[in-house]
Amino acid sequence: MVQQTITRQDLTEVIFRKTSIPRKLSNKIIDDIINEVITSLEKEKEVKIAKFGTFSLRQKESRVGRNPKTKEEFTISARKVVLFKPSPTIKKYLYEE
Amino acid sequence: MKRSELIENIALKHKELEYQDAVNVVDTMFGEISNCLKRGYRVELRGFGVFSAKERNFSKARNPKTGEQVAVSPRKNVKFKMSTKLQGILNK
Repeated sequence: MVQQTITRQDLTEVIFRKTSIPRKLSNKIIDDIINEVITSLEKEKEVKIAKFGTFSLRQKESRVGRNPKTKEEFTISARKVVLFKPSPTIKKYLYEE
Repeated sequence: MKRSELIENIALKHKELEYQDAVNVVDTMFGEISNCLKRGYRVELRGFGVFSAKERNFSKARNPKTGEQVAVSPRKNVKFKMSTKLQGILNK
C-alpha cells in the first residue's frame, strides 16, 4: 500500500490558514522548531512536547551486522539514535473515532 | 527542553511575533502532525525524520501478578525514524 505523505509544505499551509502568519514566515518557524529540537538533542537533552511525545537519545553499542543478500559480515559502528515515545494523550487521540 | 521552553526560544528568535503567535504555531504544528497521523498519512520532515502510525490489532496479554488473561484493545502507535542527516549530526 502506498501511504500518502505530508511534508513541511503542507504543515506551512495549515499554520498559515489557522494563524494567518505569512507562509514564508511559517515555513521559517517550522525550520526553527525542528532546529531547536535537534540542538537540544545534540546537547543530549531530551525534548518533551506536551500532548505529543518525548524525543530522547540512546547510545547503541557497535555490533556485527550481516548483509541479508550476500551474507557478508560487517561491523555496525556504535552510534546514537533518537527515540520517540508518544505521549498517552496522542495515543488516545489517534485511536478515538 | 519542554514545550514551554521551545515556545520561549521561538518567541525570542522572532521578535516580530506576539508570544501567543509562537504558542499557536508550535501547537498547530504538532497538532497537525497528530491529525495527519490519525488520518493515516505519514509525516516526513526532511533533515529530521519521518513519523508514521502503526495500527495494532487485538491481542492477548497476561496479568503478570495473577496470571489472568486480559485482552489488549486495538491501538495505534506512533513510530519515528530519524533521517540520515540527523544521524550524521548526532554522530559527528
